[in-house]
Amino acid sequence: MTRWLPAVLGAVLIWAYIRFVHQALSDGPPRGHGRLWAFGNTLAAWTALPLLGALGVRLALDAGVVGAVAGMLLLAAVAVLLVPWPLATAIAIPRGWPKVAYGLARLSTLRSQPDAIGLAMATASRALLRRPEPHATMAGWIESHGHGRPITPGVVLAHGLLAAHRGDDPMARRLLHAVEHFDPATHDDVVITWAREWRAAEAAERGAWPEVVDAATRLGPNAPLLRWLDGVGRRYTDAIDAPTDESLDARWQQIPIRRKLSDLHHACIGHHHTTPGRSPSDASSSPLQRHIDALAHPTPATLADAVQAWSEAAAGEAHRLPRALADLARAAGEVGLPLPPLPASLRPHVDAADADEAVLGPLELASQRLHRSLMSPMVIDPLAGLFDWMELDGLLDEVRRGGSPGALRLAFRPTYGPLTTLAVVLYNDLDQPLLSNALTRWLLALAQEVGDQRAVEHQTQNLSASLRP
Amino acid sequence: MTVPLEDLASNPFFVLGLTPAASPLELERQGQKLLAMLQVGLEAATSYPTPFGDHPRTAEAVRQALATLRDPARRHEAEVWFDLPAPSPPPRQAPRWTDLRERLGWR
Repeated sequence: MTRWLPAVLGAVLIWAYIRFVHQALSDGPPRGHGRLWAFGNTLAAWTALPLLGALGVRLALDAGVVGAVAGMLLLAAVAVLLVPWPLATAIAIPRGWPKVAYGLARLSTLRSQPDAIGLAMATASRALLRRPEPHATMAGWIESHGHGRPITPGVVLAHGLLAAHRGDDPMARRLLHAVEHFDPATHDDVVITWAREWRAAEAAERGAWPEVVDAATRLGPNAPLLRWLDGVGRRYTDAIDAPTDESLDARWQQIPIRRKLSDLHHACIGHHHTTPGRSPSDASSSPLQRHIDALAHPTPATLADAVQAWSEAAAGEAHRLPRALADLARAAGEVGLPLPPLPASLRPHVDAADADEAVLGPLELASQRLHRSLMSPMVIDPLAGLFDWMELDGLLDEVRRGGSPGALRLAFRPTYGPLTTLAVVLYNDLDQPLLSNALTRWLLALAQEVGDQRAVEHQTQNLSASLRP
Repeated sequence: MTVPLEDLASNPFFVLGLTPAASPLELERQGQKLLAMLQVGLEAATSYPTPFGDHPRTAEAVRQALATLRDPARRHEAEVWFDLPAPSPPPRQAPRWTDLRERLGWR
């Protein structure tokens, strides 16, 4: 019996691998759940493929010309099937071959859980980004793989990268940021790393270094590039915890493609000749000084300094606060920046401004449209629901940038109601638990931002109810 | 200069070249004197100093300043926003890495 055990085990693993390849080639949803399943598939592949390779060698050496050709072809196929993911990232993406990238990603056993189709769509989208011109047909081909399937983090990443391919960077930013709201157990490490890397790089291109820090600070698994970008962002925003020259250099040394970034790295090192961070005298200067500095040079850092200084002095400066906060919001809006979130001590001093109508009007119209569509008897397309959410997310950003400090609270209710209904519909009627869960997390974060305790409790309950075992 | 900073520079006390300690009578006298100087085109009256640099002074601005300071509530607001510091030097500009996505293989 023990003599046959290895043969039986081998046969089972080969059968499991053939079933996996069949699944991938027919573009069916992956069977099984969890990383253990992915490990099992990998074991099966690494059992089956050496055996096929040995057969190829034998054919190539012993069976004449036809056998040799067949053997060589078999060996080539085995070589591809052994390392599909490295081939996808090292060849198909740089060459701009979306279909090849999709196929190789689907054939990767290591990447077969938990979001194989989403990751393959994202891989193909990344390959499409390397093409110089927009390619609508290919984008449609990639999108078609997601039709009728659950919207996963990988699918959202793919749609974000396709938006970038169309040149719509603001939509790409929102979609890639939405990936952060999905349950971490539902996405491949690569999905979150790519989403953060793209967001950080795009923000660095705009010189929006606080956004670089926001995207990179969460870090990804095995993400030396993100660790370095986080350090660079902290240096350029004069953060108190910015890394020293030595620490930043150590991060840079760990990046595999560091030579491509050498000039940028050394420019960042040279940008600060002294130890970064603000002096204690700066931190203790008056709120009026911080206020005037922010109005004269509105940047994320000066605006945050001013808000913090007013917050610390709120008790003694109540007579100045309404105008001070309105002026900061106007100055931030002039340069297209949002006012930093206001601490609770400042919220009672906020006056709503007439200018709020300009940013609240479009938001209310969009939320009414969503409400009407949710109330209509027509079934909602989940993807349309995702883009409705993204539209309101973008309009809320406009409120943060262009509205008075109290405008976000005015915008909260019209946004919160329809999107909460959408989250429930996605979960109950459209079988989209992942997207519903992500939207609920986003609603919870929004409720916390505006300080609506009832909404926080409501979304916390929804979140615990939406977590399926 | 941002619009809110321009607004602070238009404080009626700055426009009239007086401090919040000035009495209503002093304000009226100073306003009339400046209007007369502007009418004859005296260069000394054509600008006024603020913590954010010199600003042009016009007859319209002087009349508006006088009207503002006659209203007790608006005078109080002007007093609150009179004693302002000069802005600190601008912070160092952080660069834009305009080709980073290309370097990282995102284009």
